[in-house]
Amino acid sequence: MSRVFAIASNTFRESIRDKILLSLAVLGFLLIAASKVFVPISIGQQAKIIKDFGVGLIEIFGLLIVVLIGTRILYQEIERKTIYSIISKPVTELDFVLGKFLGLYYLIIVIQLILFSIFILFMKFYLGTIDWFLLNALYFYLFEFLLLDAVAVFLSCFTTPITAGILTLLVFFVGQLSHYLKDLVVVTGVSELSVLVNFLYFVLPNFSVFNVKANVVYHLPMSVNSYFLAFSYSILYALILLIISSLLYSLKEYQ
Amino acid sequence: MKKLLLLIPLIILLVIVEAKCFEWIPEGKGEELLFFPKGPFVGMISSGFENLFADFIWIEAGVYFGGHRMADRKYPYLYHILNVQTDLDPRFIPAHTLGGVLLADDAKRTDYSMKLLNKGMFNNPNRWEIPFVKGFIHYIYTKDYREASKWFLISSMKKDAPDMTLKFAVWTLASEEGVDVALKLWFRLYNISTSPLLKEKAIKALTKVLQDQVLHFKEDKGHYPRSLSELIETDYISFIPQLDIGKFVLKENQISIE
Repeated sequence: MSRVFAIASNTFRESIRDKILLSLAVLGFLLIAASKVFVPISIGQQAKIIKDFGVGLIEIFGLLIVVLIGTRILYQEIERKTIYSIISKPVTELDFVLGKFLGLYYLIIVIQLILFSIFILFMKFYLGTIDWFLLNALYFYLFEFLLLDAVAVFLSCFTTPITAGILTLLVFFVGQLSHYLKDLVVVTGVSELSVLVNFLYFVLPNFSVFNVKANVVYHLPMSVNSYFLAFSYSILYALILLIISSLLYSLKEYQ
Repeated sequence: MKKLLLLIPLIILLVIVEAKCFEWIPEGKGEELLFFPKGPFVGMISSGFENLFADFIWIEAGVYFGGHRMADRKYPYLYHILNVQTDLDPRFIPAHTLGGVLLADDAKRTDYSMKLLNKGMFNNPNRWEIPFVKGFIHYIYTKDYREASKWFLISSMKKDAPDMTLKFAVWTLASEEGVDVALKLWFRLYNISTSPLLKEKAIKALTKVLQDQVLHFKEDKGHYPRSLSELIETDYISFIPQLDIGKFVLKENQISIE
């Protein structure tokens, strides 16, 4: 396990020095602040607009970090040939993939915590009060990005960073529409589609499990099951993807 | 140096083109929202960020309304925008209540107003504000006092409904077209609204109701009242609405706010 954490901390240190991260963090800060620009034309709904923008933009920045940084971390090792110094040590493929995955996940946790702290300060400054209920979104985002991180690592095992980035984005957006997939058969009336649709429904990660933005902004009650579902679903799915990734990685390296 | 010399005229040219582009492009006449997509489609493309998209559409609704209010005062796409907005964010109460009033008052489309409010009630069955506004629109615009009373009564049965809703149900049924009820209704709408647009609309309506009563007084008595208190003493109105921004006064026979 110490080998995994060594790779993870190294990945974290490398990623934190990435110029893309700095640009994203500055952009994130500016955009959350920019929600104030919309207040004069929000027709008296400034509190809702600021909350929606804050919660939505923090998720978008998490997504961009995974897509722009997460899909490159494995590829960079091969490109810079640093992979050889790692595989020459007693490190298994699973250790390597897990280390890379955890390194990126540390980074996501740190960025999410920073963005939420900035958002809380904005709320205090602009609205005069802090809506602590919004922090429920942080819990769901952390599990959402755990899963998305695993998807990015999985896809970058067999594609280039650009392709992996595009595919990660696609998986995220299609995963948000999982509930529409089921309706597709009913709406189109094509029963032959049901096998394909059901296959996609169960195979693609269902990111709508983590979509609680409306609930946190409107203070709607959330059941304990939804917290448990987010936790168990993301960990199970991510574990399966990481094991497949390590298998793919071993094939790639020793072919 | 040569590159710099080439860059300067290019920048000047770009500034000229930007300055002139609004003159060259003819202004669109009513087609600005011709390609505004339908709610379910926006729902799909906004996947997971429905509220954020809904906020942009809410802002677009404000810009559209404000733009047309300053120009032709026609709002053919207002219902469509609000319909899409409420498809994406069905819990957003002001889009239903303020939208309902704007559709009935400015767009003169009480049918669309009712459609929007009915949709709001379907999606938010526990909220008192939407049936209250429906009662309000029946009272003020369609003049259907029985319907107005029914919706005020429904509103009063909802959780957190203020006592005033039940009083309105009784007043509307008892007084038919009473000036006092209109005054109270607009004042109530002024108090519950968080929207500056709706507050402004309520102030205008309150001013008009008071001014009409001043004219009625003149017709009946042959002279103007000395103050608004005289209207209360002679039972033309029962109270003077107190606003956050000041109070109504009668100055040179005209209603103003001080």
